[in-house]
Amino acid sequence: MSTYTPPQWNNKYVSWFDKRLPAITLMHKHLIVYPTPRNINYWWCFGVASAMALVIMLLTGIFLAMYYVADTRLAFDSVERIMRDVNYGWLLRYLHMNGASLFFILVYIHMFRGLYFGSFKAPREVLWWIGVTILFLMIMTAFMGYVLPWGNMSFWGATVITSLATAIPGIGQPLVEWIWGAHSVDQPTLNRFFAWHYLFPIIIAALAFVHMWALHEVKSGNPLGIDIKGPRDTIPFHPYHTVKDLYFLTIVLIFFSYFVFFSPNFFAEADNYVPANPLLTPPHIVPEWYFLPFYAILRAVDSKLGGVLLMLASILVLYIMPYLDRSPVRSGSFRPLFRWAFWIFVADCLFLGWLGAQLAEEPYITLIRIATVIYFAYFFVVLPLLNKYEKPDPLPDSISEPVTSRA
Amino acid sequence: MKRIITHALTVAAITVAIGSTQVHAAGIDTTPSLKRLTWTWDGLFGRYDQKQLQRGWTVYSEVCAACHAVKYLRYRDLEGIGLTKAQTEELAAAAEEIQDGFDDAGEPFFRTRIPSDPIQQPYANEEQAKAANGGVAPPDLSMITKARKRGPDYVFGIQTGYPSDFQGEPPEWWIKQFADPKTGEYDFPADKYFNNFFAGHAISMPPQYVDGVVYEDGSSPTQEQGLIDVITFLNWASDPNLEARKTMGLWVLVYLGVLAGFLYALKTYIWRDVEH
Repeated sequence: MSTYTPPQWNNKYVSWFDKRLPAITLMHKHLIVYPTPRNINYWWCFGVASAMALVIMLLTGIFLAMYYVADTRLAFDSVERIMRDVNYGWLLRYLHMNGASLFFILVYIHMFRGLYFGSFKAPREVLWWIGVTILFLMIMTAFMGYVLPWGNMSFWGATVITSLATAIPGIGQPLVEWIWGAHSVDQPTLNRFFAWHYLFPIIIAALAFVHMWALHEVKSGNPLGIDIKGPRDTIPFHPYHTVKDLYFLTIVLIFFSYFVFFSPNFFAEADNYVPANPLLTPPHIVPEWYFLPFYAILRAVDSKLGGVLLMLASILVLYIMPYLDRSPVRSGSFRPLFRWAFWIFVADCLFLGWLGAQLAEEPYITLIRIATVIYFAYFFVVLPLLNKYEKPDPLPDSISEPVTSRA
Repeated sequence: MKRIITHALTVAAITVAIGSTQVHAAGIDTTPSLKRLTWTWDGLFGRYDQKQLQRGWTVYSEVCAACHAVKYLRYRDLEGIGLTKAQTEELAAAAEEIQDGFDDAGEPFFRTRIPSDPIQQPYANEEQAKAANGGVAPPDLSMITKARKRGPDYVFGIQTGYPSDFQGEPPEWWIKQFADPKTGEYDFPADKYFNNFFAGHAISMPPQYVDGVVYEDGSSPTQEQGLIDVITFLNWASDPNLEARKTMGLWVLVYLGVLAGFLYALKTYIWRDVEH
């Protein structure tokens, strides 16, 4: 890799500005000449697509906040007011509502890509950790956002999930009341959830920049999982990836628009169009689809504390991925046994999601237990064993070798 | 890539197989299932028929409005079903007066309604609604098709789901399932109607008929036509921007489709010399 030499800016205004704040050189370095592996495929586009989803959420959210009223007596009606009376309010609201689902779909695919191609392995551990932290914040933000319309599922979802804190021995009850600011989910809860729901995305946006900073330091991985060995292996970001990303983003927007305009309540629960009622528990309290696998794991054991710990562990385990999967081969494409394990793991996650939406009764409880065991076994048994016993396929010498030899 | 997809499909097939056996094993249920109906607003090109919306409004205001409010609708909103401004003014003025704060003496001040006022509600407040209906307030209908799973089909199911017109008369299949096998006794509230699709089956609302309704053209609807019309109106009430949304959606899809085509061509052109 050659070291970067900043260009001479001919335009005197650009040159004047860049000498004082090298923002233009920075953009040149990171958006124009930034070297990317020539073999990365469309699975590498889900990061930039997630960034677009974040921008959609921020922009629509700012305008929704101008009309939303965080008062338990008015919140539900204020959302209806946005839907009915605010100019294009229905559009803002449906973009925001479905945008949350879009964001999770993209981020989950982005993460599965990372798990398959070993994107958490050296030297990308810090990059991965920032990403997992973003997922954590997304979960919190989405949960609090779902409470804001103050529908009946908002209220009961908030009650069930915040009450999980009571499982902590000793301080559980005072802790949950401290979070609520009351003796149940009530006005103070709604008010602070609105404040946090506005704050957290700002932190997510900041971390997204740190995520990109870490990325540009270590550069993108690639489907072969081998290092960039020279200029022959890379192409500049512009025009190659700018155009590819733009094309991909358009495809994502087509997918997104279908739901926003033609099936805007596809991901929604009918019960959340019923105003919150503390005296009327919905027959079947379910979280949003993107929480369902975690919700299933929560119900895997009889003990409340055990369930909470398992659920936390199911996400926290991602942080130690670099130490669980120690195979020197990054890409799953060169690991014949890992590939099977990985796809079974993906199927298990989807199965957990389906189970999370079922009632807490047999046969689902047994199935949840089996699926939870498979989930954790992947991390703590299968990956360490594979590293020991699997014989990976031979790796190509360089990124450019297989493509040029094919030509 | 191909390998990845094959793996994914194999594993997915196994998952589906496990899942579906579970579903079949789980339940023997004799409850009638909700009929899947087709509605004019279904699909990419779905729209409302304004005449039908107006017929639905007639059914609503002559039958449903006796007990159910549509609290998110104002008279001016009815311009959305094709009424003129003058007609909405007329309807508003014909309704009960509305309280608008207090007069100088501190007494409640009442005035004639104008189109920006909410459509008149059958009860002054929740408590009155409860008191008049055996302790259960009739739900607001301005969100009903959104606030129930498969809302329009559900409302149709409720209205056609009474095996008996009388209170305390559950049907045979229910008795078979829930009666004490020895004594034949069963527990169903004597003051409730049985409904196939209502959660718990015991509903306070008696079966409703559109018999007395006369449409603008002088005709009277059949029970089924009256229901379809009013459900169409209620679906509009919960989603008044549906037509604007679908029209915009089509343009958005066309625009993005063309853009994607151009970008794909551009991408292919730019990448023409890159081995990857």
